[in-house]
Amino acid sequence: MSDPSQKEEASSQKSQPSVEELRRLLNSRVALNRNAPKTDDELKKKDEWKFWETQPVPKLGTVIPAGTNEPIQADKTIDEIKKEPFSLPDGFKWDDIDLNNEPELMELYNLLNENYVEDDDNMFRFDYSPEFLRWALQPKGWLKQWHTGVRVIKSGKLVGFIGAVPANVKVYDKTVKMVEINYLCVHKKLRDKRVAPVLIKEITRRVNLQGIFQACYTAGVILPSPVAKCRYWHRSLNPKKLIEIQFSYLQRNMTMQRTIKLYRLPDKPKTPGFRKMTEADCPQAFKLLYDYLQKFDLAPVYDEEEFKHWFLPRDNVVDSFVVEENGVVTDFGSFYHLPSTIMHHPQYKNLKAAYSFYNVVSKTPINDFMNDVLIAARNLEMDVFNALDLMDNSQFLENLKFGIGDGNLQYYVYNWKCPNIQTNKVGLVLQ
Amino acid sequence: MSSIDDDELFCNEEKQPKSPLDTLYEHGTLCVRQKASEISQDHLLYLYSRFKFVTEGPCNCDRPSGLFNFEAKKKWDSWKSLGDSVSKDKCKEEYVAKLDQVLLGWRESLDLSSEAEKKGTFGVRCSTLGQNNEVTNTSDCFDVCKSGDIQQLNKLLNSENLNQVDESGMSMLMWACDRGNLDMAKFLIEKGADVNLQDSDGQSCLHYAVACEHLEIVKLLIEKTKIDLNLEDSDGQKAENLTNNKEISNLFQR
Repeated sequence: MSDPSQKEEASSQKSQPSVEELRRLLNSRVALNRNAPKTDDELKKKDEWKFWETQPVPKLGTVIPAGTNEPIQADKTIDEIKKEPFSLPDGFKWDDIDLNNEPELMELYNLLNENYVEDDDNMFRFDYSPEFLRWALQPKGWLKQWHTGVRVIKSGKLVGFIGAVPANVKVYDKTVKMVEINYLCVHKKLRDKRVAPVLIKEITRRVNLQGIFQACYTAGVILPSPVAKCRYWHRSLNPKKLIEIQFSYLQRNMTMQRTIKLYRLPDKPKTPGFRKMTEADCPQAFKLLYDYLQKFDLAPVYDEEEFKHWFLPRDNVVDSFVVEENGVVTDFGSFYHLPSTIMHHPQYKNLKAAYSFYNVVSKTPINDFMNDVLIAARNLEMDVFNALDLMDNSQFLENLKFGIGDGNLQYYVYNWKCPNIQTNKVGLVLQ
Repeated sequence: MSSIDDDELFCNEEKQPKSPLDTLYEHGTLCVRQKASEISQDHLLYLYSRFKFVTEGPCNCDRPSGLFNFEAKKKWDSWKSLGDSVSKDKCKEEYVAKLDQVLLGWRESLDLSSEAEKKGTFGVRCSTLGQNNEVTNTSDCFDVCKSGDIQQLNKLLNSENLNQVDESGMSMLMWACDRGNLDMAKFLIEKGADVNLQDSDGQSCLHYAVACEHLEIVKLLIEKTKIDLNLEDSDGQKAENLTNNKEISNLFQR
């Protein structure tokens, strides 16, 4: 408790007037200093602003000259890294989540299921399955202290989480040992307590302690400063349901009947040798993907063990397919399963979505191969197939009747400066 | 140090959604605090006067006195110059418009707002194909039928347009059967819509309901109307041949 930076943390928490105090002041028309924030929203916005200004990230709008590709801040020595966790608001405590303990995994599942990412119109919320979370958060080299939870001391209730997993990521010509940051989630009722910046600072400290100083992450929102920008596209597999739940819509003069016909797919994949990937395919499929990813400016660098973790099919988590003839694997494709809860619909509770992961073709035309992947997804009862316009995906999106989605996905690399990366040079897909 | 339990934590009242202008304006005031040094003195005075009016209303206090109080006098003058007849919203609009002129890129950082956590600060985005922005023409019975507004359609409906067809040869009943609007189909049938009309492809309303697998509508047409099950479309297909759905096929077996 003698750490001076921690004291500073604690005192800055205390110096902010509470929401109730502010309201009382406003109501009684007591003149406030004109620099004081007026509402809790404003307070929070100001805090977030201040928070990112303290972080080693490029300021919004800075143009980074070609050829620059390096950390913003030098690696810290072990003595420069805080030994004690950052302090939380009163009444909360840190607690690492043990994903191999079923009740704790379910706590995390429920926190995300009830409080995680929603679409712009608040109709759908991601519903990551417990098995999916284990897969996404436990690749080679995972650490329990990087599954960082926040609990209410009194009740023990899990109300916040942030996760990090190790990854080697190539940025332009450098391969950097980083973490991927994901599943930052704060309980809906706690969003005025400004817990998110503390979660980010704490995971950064824990990652730094392992000698890692870079991170990559994606977000729907603009933070300082994106390194790349991608867009989601959606291919209807069950158009009737998608229209009924208002995921998509019918134009005035389009009939449901024609729409159903338009998106109808053959019963079975048609490329000879197209099938689910097995363990025996892994050495060749791994080589295909490894070579393919070399051409991108932002891409993961897997070894074969990691490849198996990420791509060997797991029910309701991830599926991979190959084209194999006479023992030679020529094409590889994959998607992960990420359903959403439909929040206000009398009939449908759940939207089943496949998310394009990594695809490489060396023989089959990309449109034919991806059409077979769509058929495979439809046969797994997916309602929609989603893909970003990164890598070579724009070659098949329009041909295969994908429609453009309603928002961008921004890519970030923490503590790194390099020029912006074109969408078709991005070769990284997070979960 | 008070202890916090779930009840205290979970009693924050829901907040009123803010208007887009308020959101922009509030964001603008933050930008100005951060970037005041990049804005010229004249522009700052302009912004100050609007800010002052929004927070405190018209200037009713006395002009600051004292020989060296130039700064305060200038501020008072610009505030006073707004008079007392402008509205606060007008001030906010002017504030925002001024920022567009003098502080490049200030709107871009707006996403840092409280929306950030709602959409998840990090992670995959929850994207959709977006919403229909077409506006319903409330005097066009086909438009109203597709929008599902039975009350409005009731006002427009007459013996002439009940069985009218559009440019593709479809009647309102066919559209209701295609879109799967059971209540609309019931309403049109009660009003006496012809169930055996065929469109330019020879399809009846039953063809549409079957092809789209709207079970309840197929049931309604078969059990409650005098529909001809043998009508064929221009490919020679009867309605029952347009689906593999067992439940629907069974309705034709009775």
